[in-house]
Formats: sequence, C-alpha cells, structure tokens
Amino acid sequence: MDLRTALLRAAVARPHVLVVGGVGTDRLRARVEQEVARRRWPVATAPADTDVVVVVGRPGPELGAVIEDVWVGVPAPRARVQVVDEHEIVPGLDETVGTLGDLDAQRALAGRDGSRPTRAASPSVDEDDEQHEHSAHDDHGAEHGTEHGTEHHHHGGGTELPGGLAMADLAEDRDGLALDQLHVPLGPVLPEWPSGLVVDVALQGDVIQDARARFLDVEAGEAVERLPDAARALTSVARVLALAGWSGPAARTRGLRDRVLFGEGDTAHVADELDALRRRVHRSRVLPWVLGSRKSSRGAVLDALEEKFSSARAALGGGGEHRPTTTDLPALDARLVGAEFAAARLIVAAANPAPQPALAEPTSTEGAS
Amino acid sequence: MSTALPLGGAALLPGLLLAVTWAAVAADAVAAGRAAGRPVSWTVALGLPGREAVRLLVGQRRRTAAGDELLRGIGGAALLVAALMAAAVLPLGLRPVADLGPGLVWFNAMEVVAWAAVWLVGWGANSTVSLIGGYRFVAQGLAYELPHMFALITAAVGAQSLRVTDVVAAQQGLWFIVIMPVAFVAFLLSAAAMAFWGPFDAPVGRDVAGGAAAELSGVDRLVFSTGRWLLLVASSAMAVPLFLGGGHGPWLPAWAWVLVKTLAVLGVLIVLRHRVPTIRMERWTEFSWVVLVPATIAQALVVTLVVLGRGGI
Repeated sequence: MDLRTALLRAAVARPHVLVVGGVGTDRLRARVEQEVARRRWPVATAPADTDVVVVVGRPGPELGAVIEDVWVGVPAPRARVQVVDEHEIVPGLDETVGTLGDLDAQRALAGRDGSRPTRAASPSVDEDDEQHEHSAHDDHGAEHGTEHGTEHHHHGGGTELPGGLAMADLAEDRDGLALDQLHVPLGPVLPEWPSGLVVDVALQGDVIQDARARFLDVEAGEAVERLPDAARALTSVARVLALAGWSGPAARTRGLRDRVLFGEGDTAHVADELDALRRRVHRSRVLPWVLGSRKSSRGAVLDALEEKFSSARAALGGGGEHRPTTTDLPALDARLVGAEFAAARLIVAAANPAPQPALAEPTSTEGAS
Repeated sequence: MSTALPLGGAALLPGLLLAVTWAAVAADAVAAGRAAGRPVSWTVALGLPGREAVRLLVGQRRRTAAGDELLRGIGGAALLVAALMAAAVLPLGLRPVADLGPGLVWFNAMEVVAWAAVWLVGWGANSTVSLIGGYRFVAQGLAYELPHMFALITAAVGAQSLRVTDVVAAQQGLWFIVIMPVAFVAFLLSAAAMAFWGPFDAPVGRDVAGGAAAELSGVDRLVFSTGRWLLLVASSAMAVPLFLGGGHGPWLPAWAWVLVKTLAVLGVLIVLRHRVPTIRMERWTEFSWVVLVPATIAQALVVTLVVLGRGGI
C-alpha cells in the first residue's frame, strides 16, 4: 500500500453523507439515517460537503435529474449508492468506503474540474451507469434544481450571464421599493427538508415574495406511503429543532423516532423519554424567543412544535385522542409569502406537508399571493 | 515594561494556536456526542481534527458556475490571516509576539476583517444560500460589535492603557473580571459571535445548508474552517489578558496559567454552543442594543469613576 492510498483511506474513513430520497421513501430513509448515525458519520450540509450520496428508493425522472445535478457538485473522492431495501443499507455503506478508498476508481470519477456544467453544456451525464437504473434524463432541460439552483432557472426575459445563468429581475419589495428579485427553487436536496418537496420561490434579499410548492414525481391522486403518525410527528420535531440550531435535542428526537419505527416494542420507555424531551423544550427560554418571529403571531412554529409533541404522544398511547393536522400545499404557499428565509425553513419543517391524494394536485397548485 | 517575545515566538504562535484548536475541536466533538446521546470517546475525538483535515486536503476543489474565485479565495485567506494577526498581541505568558502600543485597537481591527472575509466568501460562490449566509454575518456584526468595543474600552480604562501587557500588569492584585463582570460577559458573547460560533452560527447554519461555507470544498473549506476556529481560539484567549489576570496566578508559570485559562474559556463557549439554540441576528441585535449596550456603557462609567477615585488619569 503506497502512501497515496494510505492517505486516501485515512481521509475517507469518516465520510460525510448526503441522503436523497423521493416522496414515500421516509421509512427507508429513516433506516439509512439511523445506520449513518450509528456509524457516527456526519450528515453533509450541502453537495460540496459530501463524500457519499445515498439515493433512497427508486427516484422518478424529475428527482433523478436533480440527483445527477447534485452528483456533479460533489467533490472527489466521492461515492454514490442506491438503496431500495433495508438489507442493502449496511453492505451499501460498506461498499462506499471501499469505493472512496480506491485510488483508481476515484481517478475515474474525478475526471472533471468540479465545476457545475450548465444545462446546454451537459447532455445527460451519468458517471456510473452500471450501478443505477434511472437513466431517464430526457427531460434534462426542465426546470429543476437544488438549493443552488439559480443557474438553472431560465426566467422569462431575464438576461443570460455567461454560463447560462439568469440575472435577477427587478420587482417592488414590501415597502414599495424596486429591488432585485431572484427566482430560486428550494429543495429537494436541503438539510432537514421534506422528501421530494420543491418550493419555487421569488426571493428579495432573504424575504420570500412568492412561493409555489410541489412534489416531484407524484401523479395527482397517487397513493404514497406515509410514516405512522408518531414517527411522522417526531421527524417534524427533529427537523424544527435542528433548524433552530439545537442539534443535540434534534438528534435525540431522531433517535426516538427510530425506536418508534424500528424499536423492539419498548414503547413505555419511549414515551417517558418523549415526555422528558418535551419538558426540556418547554423549559428552554431561548427557544421561544428565537422561534417567535416578529410578524407571525409570536410563535406559530412553537405552537406547531407543541402540536407535534401532543400528536406523537397520543399516537404512542396515553395522551388522549389527537388527530394530527395536515397542511396542504396551497396553505403552505400562503404561509411562506412574506417570511424570511430562516422563518420559511422552520415553517416548512413544522408543516411537514405530504402528498394528499384526495386534496392536492401538486402540479397545478396556485400560490396565494 | 515587558517587551515582545524574540522572533522565535512569532514562529511558535501559529503552532500553539493550532494545538489549542485541535484540543477544542476534539472537545467539541465529545460535547456534540454527549448532547446527541451518542457518546464519542476521547480517543476517537482526538483523532478527528487530523482526519477531517486530511479529508479536506485530499478533497477536490470545486467551483460554482460564474462564481468569483478571486474574491472567495481572498475571503478565506483573510479570515485565517486576520485570526493570526489578532493573536499577535496575545501575551503568551507575560510577553506577546508584538507588544504594540495600541494593542487593543489592533486586536479589534483584525477581528473586524472577519466581516469582510465571511461576506466575500459568501458572495464569491454565486449561490443563494452562500449569499444569505454572508449577509447574515454582516448583520450579526452590527449586533455584537458595539458591546464588544465597549467591553474592550472598559478594560483599557481600567488599566489606563491600550497596551495589552499594561492591562495584564494592572491585574496583578485584582482580576478585572471582579470589577467589570458585565464587560466580561459581553466580551465572551461577542467572542462567540465574531467566530460565528453557536449560538451565533446563523451565518453557517443548517437552514442555509452551511451558509457562507455551503459551496466550499477541499482545501478552500479547510482554510475557511481553520480560520474560523483560530478566530474563536484567539478571541477567547484574549479574554485571559483582558479580564482573567493574564499570566498571573500562584504556583504555575505564566504561560501555563494563560493556557489553562484559555482552555477554560473555550470550554465555556463549547458548552454554551451545545446548550443553546441558534440566536438569530435580528433577535440578538434587539437584545444587544437594548440591554448590552447600555449595560456596558454603565460598566465603563463605573470603572472610570473607580479609576478617577484612585487618582488615575
């Protein structure tokens, strides 16, 4: 083993993982997150911080295109693995360590200089086709994007910069001043973001002027697998806490969710821990202070958090009847308009929308503004 | 009057700072594991800074479409250089690398460079979340800088000098933390805020996917995060000569006291990070300007009166 290989192996022993899944993959995704946490591997914040991309389930064409986009932005040494079954998780993650430490494989993967190609310059690129079946990139020109997606949004009338980027528009802000307005898709690859959700927003500064939420690859009326109520509520709580910068309690909540989903029937103990966590959140004086934003009647997110705790507690038994409230996409759009970026992230995490066959037609939802 | 360290001190300084940073990163990993209920052992944690550094050194540098590479590079380097320059006036023991007359002003000027640095990194990437992160830091600067400067001024008034070694000498009998506790608390909070360290980590928060650092990979990310850590270490180390008596203390030599006190301050900041959720800039501005600014001004006034009463100035 020469020095370079030794160095590479040392470098990749604790890879940062980016988990990407479409709508309806939440259960498998939770399993992946659990295994990643068990290995003490950090969860990446963005593609640039990623070593391993774990694709959960079989992404549809829209999400598939987004994943290709994300993959281009992941710096070498890098590895990608697709997981469609719980039994594939452990061998899959083990395999990525091997790929990351393999100098020849990495040379092949790091062919480019790491810059993101523009749409025109990148006909469907797929570096490791043999591992992946989703080669449906026919709609590569459609408007998708990650959180870095400004470069892909060809807004009508916007001036093109070199590299195929769209310039910002001008529009009136909330005080009636003409300011730059940027059209950006939020999601689906963002930390603490609901699977498969994309919100196309118009941003001025970091204030959202217009929002349109949609789910990728979901046909109207299609039935989608959902997590049980308790696990779903806990996922939402964990995301809100993580976005509030309280990573310890967030990780503990996620651990509780995993035990609700996969635990060996020790629900009594889980309920106790849930109550302890809830008391801790209640006791915090900083959390209400930072969550309550000036405009929204002090702490709509805080109320949602409380509601999720009750819902999880009720689902675990012992908390009385409780029907979890659900948010449909038009309602979410309405709430996002006028929110600042940080507040918007919290609103989405607290609402935790899911496709609702009876109610929503995700492709034709209209913003409330 | 004590003088500056011989030239060897200048070569020693980055090494010392990096060693303390190493320990702080490891302690942070242990604290994070404990907070998350997934304990990380000290042996693993101590290897962690090296592992992450190698990972980033090996990692590919990545560019964003139409990003401004030059500005981004300048920003990352400036953060690192500013932290080192700020540390130059730190007495390692009783003598600093550079015993500047206006040492406190120098320290303050260097740390303000971080504003430009973080903003440039956020701007240069040409990405929405980076830009939001960069601007968040500028807004945060508005929040923490005023109480921070009043805290520095209070220590200078107490010693009747802007020279850091004079401030240490003035604390031979009584540590300044005793007569100016408010200034100390304000300094500690602003030390965390200037290194965008939790609970003031909104500029690199999870909600903006890493914020100013979102698009950094490979050696770029290493430079940026090392700069951030050095800034945290340098600013918490500054609390020692300003408020905690510098190298003064019984039994141990001066350098050991400086080290022990610096690690203690860092420990407090690490615990704070894992206890408290992120405080958004607009919230902090409100608290800072309404509570901390008047409180630090009152503190400066009290200290001034004490100094006048003793027949100073």
